[in-house]
Amino acid sequence: MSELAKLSDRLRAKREAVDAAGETFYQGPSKTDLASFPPKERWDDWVELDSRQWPKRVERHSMLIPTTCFNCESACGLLAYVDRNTLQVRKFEGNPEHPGSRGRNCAKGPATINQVTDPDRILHPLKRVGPRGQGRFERVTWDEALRDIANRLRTAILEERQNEIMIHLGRPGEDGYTERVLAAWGVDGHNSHTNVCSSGGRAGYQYWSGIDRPSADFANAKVIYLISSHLETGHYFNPHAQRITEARQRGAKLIVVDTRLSNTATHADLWISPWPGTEAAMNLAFANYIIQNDRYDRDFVRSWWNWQEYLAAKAPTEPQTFENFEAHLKTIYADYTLEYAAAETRVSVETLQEAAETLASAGTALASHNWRSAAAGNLGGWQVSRTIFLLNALLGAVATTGGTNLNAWNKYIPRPIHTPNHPNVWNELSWPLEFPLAMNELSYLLPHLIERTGRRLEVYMTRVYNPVWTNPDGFSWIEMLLDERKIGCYVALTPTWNETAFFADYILPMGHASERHDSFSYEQYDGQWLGFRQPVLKVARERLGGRVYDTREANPGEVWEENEFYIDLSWRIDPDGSLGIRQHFESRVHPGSKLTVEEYYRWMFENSVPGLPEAAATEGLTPLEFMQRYGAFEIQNGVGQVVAEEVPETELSDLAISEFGRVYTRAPEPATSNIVPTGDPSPDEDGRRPVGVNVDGVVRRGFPTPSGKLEFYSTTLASWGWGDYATPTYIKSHVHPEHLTEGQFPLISTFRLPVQIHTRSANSKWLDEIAHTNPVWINPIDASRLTLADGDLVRVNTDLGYFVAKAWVTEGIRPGVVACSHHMGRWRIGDLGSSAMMRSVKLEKQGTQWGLQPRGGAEPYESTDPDTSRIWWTDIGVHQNLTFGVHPDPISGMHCWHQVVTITKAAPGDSHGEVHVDTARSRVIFDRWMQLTRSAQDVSPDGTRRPRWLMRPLKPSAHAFELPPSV
Amino acid sequence: MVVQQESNAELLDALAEVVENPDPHPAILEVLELEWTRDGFTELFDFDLPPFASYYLTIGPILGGEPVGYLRGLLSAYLRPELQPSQPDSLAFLLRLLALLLRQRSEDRAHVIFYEALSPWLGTYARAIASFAPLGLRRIGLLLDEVYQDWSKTIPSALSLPFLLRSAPEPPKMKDRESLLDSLLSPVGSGLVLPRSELIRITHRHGLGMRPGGRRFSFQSLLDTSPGETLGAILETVAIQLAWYRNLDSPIALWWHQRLAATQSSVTELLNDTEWADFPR
Repeated sequence: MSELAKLSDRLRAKREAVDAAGETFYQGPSKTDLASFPPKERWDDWVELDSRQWPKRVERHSMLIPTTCFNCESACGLLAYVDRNTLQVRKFEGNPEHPGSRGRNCAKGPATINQVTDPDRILHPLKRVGPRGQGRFERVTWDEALRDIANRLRTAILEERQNEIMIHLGRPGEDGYTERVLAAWGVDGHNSHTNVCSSGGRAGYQYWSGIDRPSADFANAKVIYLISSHLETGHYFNPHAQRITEARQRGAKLIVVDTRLSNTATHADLWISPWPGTEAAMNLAFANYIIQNDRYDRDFVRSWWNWQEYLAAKAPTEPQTFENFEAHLKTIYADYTLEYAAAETRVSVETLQEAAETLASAGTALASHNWRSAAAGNLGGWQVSRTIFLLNALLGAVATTGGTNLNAWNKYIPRPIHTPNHPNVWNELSWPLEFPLAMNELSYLLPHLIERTGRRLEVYMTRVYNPVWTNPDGFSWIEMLLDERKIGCYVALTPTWNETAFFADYILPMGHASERHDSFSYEQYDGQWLGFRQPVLKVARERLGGRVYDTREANPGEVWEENEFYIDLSWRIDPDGSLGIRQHFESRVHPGSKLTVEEYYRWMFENSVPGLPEAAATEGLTPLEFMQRYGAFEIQNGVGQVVAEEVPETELSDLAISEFGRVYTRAPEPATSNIVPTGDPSPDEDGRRPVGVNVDGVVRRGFPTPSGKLEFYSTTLASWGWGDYATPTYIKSHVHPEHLTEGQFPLISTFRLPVQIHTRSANSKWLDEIAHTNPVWINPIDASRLTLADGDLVRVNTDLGYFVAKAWVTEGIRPGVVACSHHMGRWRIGDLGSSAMMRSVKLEKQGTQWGLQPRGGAEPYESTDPDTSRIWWTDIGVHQNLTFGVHPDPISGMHCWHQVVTITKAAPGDSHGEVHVDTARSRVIFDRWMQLTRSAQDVSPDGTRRPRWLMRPLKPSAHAFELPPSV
Repeated sequence: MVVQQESNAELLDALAEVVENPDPHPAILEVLELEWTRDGFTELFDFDLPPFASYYLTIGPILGGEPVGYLRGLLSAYLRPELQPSQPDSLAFLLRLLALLLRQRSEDRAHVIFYEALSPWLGTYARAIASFAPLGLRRIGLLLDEVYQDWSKTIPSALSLPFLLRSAPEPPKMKDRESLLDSLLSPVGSGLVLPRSELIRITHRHGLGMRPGGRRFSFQSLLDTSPGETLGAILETVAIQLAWYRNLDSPIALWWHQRLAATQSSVTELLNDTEWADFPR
């Protein structure tokens, strides 16, 4: 026997022994090892040569400490290069140990260094001096700020004015943390940005599956179908971009639907540019194509759709058989021919035919995604996601390899050390009766709701949120904030200056990506991972033998983090524990003393993350040390079809099965350490909890919907007054051509450039240099008709007023439609804020007439950063959102961003960036859209404010769901 | 002609594992007698000697290009396109494919894959690892060379060069600095394997100054600052690598030997007959 053969034999024997022990002998390529990263064994002392010292070889020694980018929800991994001598962060690069981002970042990740080193960043707590809105502040201590705020909060709670407390989140740092803080306070005070972001998209998915977000398995798809302004508008741009690229390298087809020629569209095999708001009609035409040609997965539809409920409601006297349902299916969408869709969308039949055939050929490997884009732009936009998922549901491409999963199965929220009960109150300032089915808080209506109800907020806190700038109708926000009767105390938790912070009473500096603790998990592939963000300088000092007890000790200035802030604040609200608040922020190791963030995460990682303790032990680390060292942990890869899992016998006790196969059990729910929210179907009349669904005689886990199945027919929509929309359908947008008069255009403002992020990237010089302006996209045909040339100033006239912008004449937008990007047009009052990206302005008000007068654009200036003297750009765009009236969708609550506008040449004297608005018009628009709603008072089938099973952040107790007595 | 046996499949899988997985199972390392460090894996396979055919068969060199196109076409006879990896010229993938074919008793297909996809470059690659890898990992090269020699016996003597060598690009003529770099840095152009670690050794051995950076950048800096010494050191490396092919008479070994010999001749001429300052950029 040759030597090679002997080696082979020995290897085989070893393999068989290892396999028998349940281990994997050949693990295959590392998913995270890339040539571009320092090997993790050298992270404690990584050496690079200082390029500026060449030809001398001067070594720079760094500690590479993982953290996570804070600049969007993707939460991509970063490595902070901490200089071992100066203990300063030199730069950020990717973290190859992060399973989602796999070492890669978009521009925003590395640009974090700009935000951290910004010479104008807020480093100390500030308090208003003089009237609100003057832009004058003085430095105060944290103690002074906390004392005042805590006193107000405590008083409000004691006086049962819980609904006068609100924390408004832009970017939540840690999954569920703020909600738990509010729950501990007994306050239904959570507000979010979601209804200006993704509620439209969420509604479509939740009405199907009980889970409000998709998780597409792009990497393994055969066909990728995006209704998106760029790779789902930033969710999750980098991690998904990689996987879409990999799929395309393997031959997957990419279809992009975007009225505008985006960067993503340029990579597509098929780019479809429909008239805005017609996307759902197009999806239904594709669905009809699949149905009429019998290309749907019959077995999947039969097993997993709630077709029985559909027949029971719509055809109760007909045979209640699947064959009869199929006959109905052939007729339901029969009118949605490709020709009809072509007429609606103004896209050729040939293109739609090609798309339909490509989609139909995908089988179970269709990865589709819609997040903002059309779902965020249009009245009825939630039907865009409802109809896009219809395609997956027809093809059986749900939770399949290469298909579309639901996010809850690819996400992990570890149970924390304390889980307070949810509040017994309901806040109608964020959950008004008129919107019983809204996906999230009607956040952007706050000024109007306060005005209409006469209510007030004692303490209003924003957290990395800038409603004056991000929301529509910003002047209404300014009016509200300026009125101290409406807002008792406004606290802005922010790392940087922003337009809303100028009107704050307190500005409290919170840390950036490398200056705070958070844990989080996002659905980026068929797996579950947990990420960890940490204050890297604290970790660096501790690795060198120091001890840091409070993150402020390690951060620049007095920059803090919310985790420690809320613990401290809660202790001040309830110093003796008599309110029952303090207990949720107490140490378990040292009862009676404050919980530390170290104990908080140590407990979480030791008790609530399966596999982490074992993985840590193999390296001789504690779970906390493991997360501090690597920044992320993959809990599971390949979750698969959770819906099809058989429910174990231990959960089947004293069953009751509904006529449609919903299975209820008396067996208690098993404990779980994953507290990711999903729909929460109600128990049956006898109190049994829903446990699964009967599929061909086997009890399977199913979906978290009332029926346990995919709800093609939504009994919720039907019973809450929207029977016409109970099945996926097409709702004509408010910008449908039928609603436009001569000379009017739909304005698309929902697209963003992935280089910037809403409010907190204006102080990143690198990002500002790449993207700093937002001209109005106009097709050459329209430009010619309006006698406009490229670069001309134009007035864009909206329902509320107008803004003055530059025209960009381009074939990248279809005729009859105009577009203008989000992010740009930042402004500042006085000297506060970043000169690179925020133009100085003067705000003028006369009655309800507001004007924003720009005072120049960006310009170079002297600072401690020599680059600020190299600013070469001047055009920093226009704040268009100020001129947008609020458009709440009556079902999803989503602000329907598209505006109906006219374009005229700028008048003499108009300045680029100028804005004019009449807030009296704001109220008219608000009232007009409120007439579309159907109040819970009128439609609730069971005396509740909202279906209990629907997801809701910070869901109050059952009692709070009861409708108030009618007035 | 020798036929490979299924019994050798395990070794192929193990070699594939150590070439692509920075954390192989300790049992593999024990049997193969490797002194493993994660660091060493990174230096060897990520920085110095990427285990991809295209790197040794293109000018530049590049990852991808015509060798990948050819292999994709070849593999389509065995695998549907969507099952092919994004880099079908990866050594690990090809070794695993051979092992799979042996287990399926498809020895003839395995021989074809070896001949077309591995024989053009694996021998040279194996010797490069044996020469340049961190000490604890050089045995990978020795084992790959043994496997290569063993499998080479399956090639009928009547066969000519495999396609990837018959169609290999012509060596760039060393008429200016750019084409000199193209040639010396591309194994298929010069026959020479010149990893970054070898450049570093040259600088230490001869006391030269090199600007750290990408391989091309660093090599250029050596030539700019010390052209005579650098080219002299290159000739030393060429001589060492010529010895790799001594006593080998296969067409493939002869092919590589000829390329190296031509490089030796060209560099000698450049060294002796050309003023570096006059050598065009």
